[in-house]
Amino acid sequence: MTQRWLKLLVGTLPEAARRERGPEMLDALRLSEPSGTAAVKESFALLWASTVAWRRYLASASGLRRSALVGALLWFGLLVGVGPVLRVRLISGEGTESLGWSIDRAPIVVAIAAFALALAALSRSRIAAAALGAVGLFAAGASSVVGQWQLAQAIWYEVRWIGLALVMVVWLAGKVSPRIRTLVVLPVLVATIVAVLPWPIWAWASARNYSFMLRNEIYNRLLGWSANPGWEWLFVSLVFVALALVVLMPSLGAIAAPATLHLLIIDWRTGLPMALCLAVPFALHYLREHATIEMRWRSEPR
Amino acid sequence: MRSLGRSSRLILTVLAKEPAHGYAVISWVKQASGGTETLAVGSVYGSMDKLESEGLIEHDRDEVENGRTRRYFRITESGRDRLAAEISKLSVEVEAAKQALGVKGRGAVTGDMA
Repeated sequence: MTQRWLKLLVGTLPEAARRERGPEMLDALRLSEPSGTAAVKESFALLWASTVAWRRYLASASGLRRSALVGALLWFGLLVGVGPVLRVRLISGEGTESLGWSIDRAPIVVAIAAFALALAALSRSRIAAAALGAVGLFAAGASSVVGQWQLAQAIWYEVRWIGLALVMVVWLAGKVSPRIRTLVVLPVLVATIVAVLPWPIWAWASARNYSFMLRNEIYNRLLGWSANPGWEWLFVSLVFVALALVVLMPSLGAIAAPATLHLLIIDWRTGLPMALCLAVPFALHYLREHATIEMRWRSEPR
Repeated sequence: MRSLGRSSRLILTVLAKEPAHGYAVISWVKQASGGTETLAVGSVYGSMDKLESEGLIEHDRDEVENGRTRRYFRITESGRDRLAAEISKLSVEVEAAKQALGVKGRGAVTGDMA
């Protein structure tokens, strides 16, 4: 029972550390056979070892790349949720003739299916993923033709949003060889959460306007919650904790990097505050790692 | 410079003699203390991780013993310097404590301790 528990704690180490020294640690635990208070002491020691390993991993280059990929997947999922998935929800609530616009169901379904397949194909072939992504972008464009917009304009719009997010996912996935489970589950989970949130009707109708949705619905709602009397202290504490964590473990900041970069490129007014928020802890981390502060005291002549 | 923890100090002491793996450190401490001292596996491997990230020890080689891979580490030059600095700091403390207690050399305490 104790050994099983300790084995579980060894399992909390990051994958690379677990692979490198997990078996050796398990052998050592089997030979030392801690019980009673020694087992409690060992449990805390293993948790500490796990924290050290995670902190080290999250400051490493491979940790940064993996975190950036997780961030790109979450961002891609958010955009697909805000775009095609919310369009599906709009149709299911309002019908295909909604708010004076006629919406075709087929291209939305094709777009969502193509994006899901593109993610699934990523662990095998980046070219196949890119090709499926292109099909998805064409379909997404077809589903967002509205008013005076022509198909070409609609596709270009989707390329700038979902397309660029997908390019980041494909590029980063090539650097870290992720598992298919991570690739598909993360974005699908985020897209599903976005779709089930209690959006007002005008937000549904804005599912063709990513910038509006991000700035006026998501961003403003967050600011609204943060300004809620009695909750500001919690929000401010969370922000400080997040910034401190990024100083200690830059990988946590790397999660936000793809979204920030994307927004800086296509919607700098939304991206700039995020970029500044990230720049401060990254700069502090850099100073902490590279700067040497020397202090000398010279006694005053009497 | 921050003082090293006990586990880190013992790891550097073992590695100063020859490259070793984590479990060898635990065994050495147990043997050297006559079985009274045992280091927690987690604190040894956590400390080794920390020492490696600080550049005080480095990966030496991997060896397969009884079908299991053992990861050997060796002490670096800065690790030796750090251990030496740590020893001299401890020696000063030990001497001060000895003087306060009136202990000479390795002898017994000459105070009123019955």
